[in-house]
Amino acid sequence: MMVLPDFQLVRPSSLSEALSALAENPGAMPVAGGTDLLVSMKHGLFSPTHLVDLKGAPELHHLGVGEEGATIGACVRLSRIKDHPLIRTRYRALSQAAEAVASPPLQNRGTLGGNVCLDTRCYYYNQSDFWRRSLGGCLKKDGPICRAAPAAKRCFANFSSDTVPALIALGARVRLVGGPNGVKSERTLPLEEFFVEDGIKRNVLLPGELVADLHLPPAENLLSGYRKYRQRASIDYPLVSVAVAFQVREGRIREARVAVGAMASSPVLALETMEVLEGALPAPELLASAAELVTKRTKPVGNQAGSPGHRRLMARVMCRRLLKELLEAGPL
Amino acid sequence: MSREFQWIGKPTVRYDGVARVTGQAQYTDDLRLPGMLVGKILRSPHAHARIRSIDTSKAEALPGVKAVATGQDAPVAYGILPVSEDEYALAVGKVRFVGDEVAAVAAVDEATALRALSLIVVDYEVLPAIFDPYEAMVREDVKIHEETRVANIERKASLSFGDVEAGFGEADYIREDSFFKGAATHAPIEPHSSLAHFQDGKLTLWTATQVPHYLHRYLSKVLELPQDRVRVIKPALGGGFGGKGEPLPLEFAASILARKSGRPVKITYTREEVFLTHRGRHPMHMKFKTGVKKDGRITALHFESLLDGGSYGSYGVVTLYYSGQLLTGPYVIPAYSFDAVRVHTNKPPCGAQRGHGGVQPRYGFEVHLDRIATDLGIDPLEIRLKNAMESGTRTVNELRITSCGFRECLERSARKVSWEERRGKLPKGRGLGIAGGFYICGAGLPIYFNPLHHSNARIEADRSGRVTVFCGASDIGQGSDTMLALVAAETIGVSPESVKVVSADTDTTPVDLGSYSSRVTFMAGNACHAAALEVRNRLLAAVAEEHGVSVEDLEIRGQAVEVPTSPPKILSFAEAVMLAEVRGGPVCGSGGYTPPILAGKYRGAGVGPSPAYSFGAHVAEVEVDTETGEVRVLRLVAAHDLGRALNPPAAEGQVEGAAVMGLGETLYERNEFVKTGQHESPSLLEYKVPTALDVPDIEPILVESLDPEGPFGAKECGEGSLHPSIPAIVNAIYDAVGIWLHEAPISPEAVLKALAAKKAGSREQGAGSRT
Repeated sequence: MMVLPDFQLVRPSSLSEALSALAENPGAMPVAGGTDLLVSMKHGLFSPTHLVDLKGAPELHHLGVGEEGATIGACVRLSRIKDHPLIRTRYRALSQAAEAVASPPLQNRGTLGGNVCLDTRCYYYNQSDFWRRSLGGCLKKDGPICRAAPAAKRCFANFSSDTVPALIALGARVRLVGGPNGVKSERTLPLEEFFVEDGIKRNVLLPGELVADLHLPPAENLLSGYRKYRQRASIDYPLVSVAVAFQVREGRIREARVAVGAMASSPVLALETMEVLEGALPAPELLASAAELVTKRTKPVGNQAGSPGHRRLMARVMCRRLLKELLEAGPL
Repeated sequence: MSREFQWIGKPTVRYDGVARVTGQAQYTDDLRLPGMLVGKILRSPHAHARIRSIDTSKAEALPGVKAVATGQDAPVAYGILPVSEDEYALAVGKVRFVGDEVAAVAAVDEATALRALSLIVVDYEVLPAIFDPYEAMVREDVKIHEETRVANIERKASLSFGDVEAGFGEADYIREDSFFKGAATHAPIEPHSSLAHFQDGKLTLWTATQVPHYLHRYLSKVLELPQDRVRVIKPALGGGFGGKGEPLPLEFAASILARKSGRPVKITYTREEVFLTHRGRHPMHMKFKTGVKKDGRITALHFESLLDGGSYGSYGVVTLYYSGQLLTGPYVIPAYSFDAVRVHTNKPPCGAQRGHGGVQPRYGFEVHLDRIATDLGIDPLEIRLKNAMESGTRTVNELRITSCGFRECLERSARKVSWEERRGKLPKGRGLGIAGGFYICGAGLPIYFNPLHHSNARIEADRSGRVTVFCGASDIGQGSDTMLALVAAETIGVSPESVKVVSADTDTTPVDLGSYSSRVTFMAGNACHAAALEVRNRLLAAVAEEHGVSVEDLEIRGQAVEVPTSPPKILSFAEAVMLAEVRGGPVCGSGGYTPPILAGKYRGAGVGPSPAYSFGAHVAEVEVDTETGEVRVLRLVAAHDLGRALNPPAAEGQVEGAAVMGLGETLYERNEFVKTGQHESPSLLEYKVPTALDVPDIEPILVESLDPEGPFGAKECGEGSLHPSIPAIVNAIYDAVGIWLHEAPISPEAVLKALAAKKAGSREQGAGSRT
């Protein structure tokens, strides 16, 4: 058995109560599904004084899809997103990404907010306390150097969320609430700006601040999809993931957005690929050259199964296949 | 038996099936005793180090800690094989891998126990570590075990049979190939767990073990307690596959802590500790050289293997011999020699895993054979049929083959996939591959020398009409309790549901050597059959005497005895028992089984002989994605000659499980270490056991060759059925995309690399020459 360290469980019944609980206890952490956090706590990666259970806050459970777009609360379960008929048709990439997370039991438990805030992962980090101590720890936890890239001065732990690349491709904006400026403070930013290319810092969340919900723009004529490369057909975190969204207007690709996951410490917007696609007529050569550029901004290191070179190659293959599939299938 | 079977060959509900699927079965970790403490083990952070000192005083002073133990509490060496007793309950003097057991504590709860571990101060002198077996062969300056004479070579074995030189001289074609089969581990769903209790100077240990008898002996030895003061009980067990097949550190640690604290102590391993305990598949470097005639008939075979044994002996010397001894079938090999070496490295010990010893060479040889067939333009099925061994023969290394359904396995599995019409003719990216295999039905010799029965059973019929089988056999989920109930029921004539089984308790059940080497159905089944016959004979003799009829005219069917008096009478089974009890007291029967003396006259002949052999052939159909390198197994047809299917659904389950395990080892599971010796993936998240979505429907074919010495003709089916799956998949990949893969597990990257090499026209591995 592995034991959870001691902590106090706080169960607020509203968002403001939750934010107060976080503000009052500097050692507290928020928890929703707990599918990742509790395992990490058993590994000794986190030892919060309090866990603030967000599931009791009704404000975080809203899920609405309409003409003006979609709003999804942080505590909406992944299985609900996966199965939502309008998300399936209008925001297919997100539905596919939710379905690609772990396995159905974990999708029933895990939430969108949790998946957006998912910790970065590394062979040398996601191990037991005994394992990490025997090696002297790593930059991200209790150690002097990055074990995966010892010459580097930063942590390269891998960004591993499935839903985030899909959300970014779909143009999501994230709304953050609370934090050091008080429970009433609020800010909204494009989701790609939420993340930081640093395996330790990960994102711009301030102490006590929470992801409240995500907003997706209207999905008119939008084609989107998500592909994940992993070793097994279920359970595994991505070794590579690619999400694409675009419209086809007058035969040309418009507003193309391509995001790559699991290839750096943050999600990567494949700007070069987007540029090649923008305004282009869909043709096989174009798809191939667009896909070739998809890894331009990625920095995989040897901290997951599969060599970095293989993962980059797979990103290009996944991207090309996804573009091809979307253009062949057309709108649903 | 001349009469038709009442139960054999028909589906029988598992003895413990309802309890297992409703969650009521009590596994070791479910057990609780009043005052029970939690035990935890401190493990080495170093791959190789000398222990200068251990200071446990702070841990002992921690409130809630009831006992702390170190190697000095039981410095008695043990090991499953008497030839390699090189382990201690807890480290004495040295640690040899990251995770080696150093000390143990028992405390009132888990958190206190863990805190206590952190307070134990161990002063280590770190030594250079070896992880590569080739390095281990030559490094004289680093000795993992001081006793090894040359570098870190634990043992070498070389044997030669027939005239090998003449065999190669006679060949028209000779081919040589090298292979590497990486490590795999058992990954049982139930982690190891042990609960020890000392009362009145007597130890009782409830533990997840495949081998209660051997454990009983070693507990007595290490704890220096007479055997009659040690009792081992195996509760419901959730998978062994060899990983619970020998005495393990937690079993000793829990016992020592219980003795020191005077309270019951339970240790349940974390998943990481299960990986560190290991005893799994040896990484094996192999070389094959085979001579054949033009028509594909084999004339000679030479084999070399290097086994990376990890830090301790475990079953390794047996693995070493099996690696060589089990290549003389299922094909006729007229001349054969092998050289095998096992070395120590600073990794968790390797030992026995499902299909023990034969799996790695089988992978190499079957792919090697396909390469020979391809070189000569012979169909892979045809070359196998041409060389297939037959019943009533002896192999060149003197293995006695009684029943043999190998040819039927090949033919039926090939027919099922329309081999002739489809192999070599599928669209690019799709392919079919075939491979054969064979395996022992129990080792011919026990692990420690003794002339006693390998299996014993006692059966009692009581006046309530119940039949109870007492047998030491250890049901580890494979269904041996059901097998015992079924064999007793069929022999006596009552229904399997009316038979109670008391098993795997060293105080109340007669010795069976354990669940290893696929021996239980054959040996315990035979012992149970003999005991049941005694019961049946006593019952029928009593009824015959009472009613003045002849025994031959009596039959027990459906809980009743039909007496052919006029008018005919029907006695209930309980009435029959009472008649026998009146005449001779409790109605008991006992039986034992010892294999015939089968070992050849040469040194090393003890490993390999078995009273019978199972045979198998698998055909895999795969799809290879040439852009990603991913291999998907679309179909796996698994034909297995098990003598007779006593309980067909159980047998099919074994064959399917073995085939899936083989598939996992081929494509997904990597048991590797980072360069400082830590296990790379000690979790079920990162050690990639295939999921339901990664596995096709396995199509089992049960071939019944009716063994003359097996219980009702039965042989083994749980281990041999793993052997062919690995090479069948690898051979199918060749048919799909034209590449040979000489290393397993096969990563998508390796597939892409081989495809690129093929495209570039680079020289392939291995080579053949016409003579």
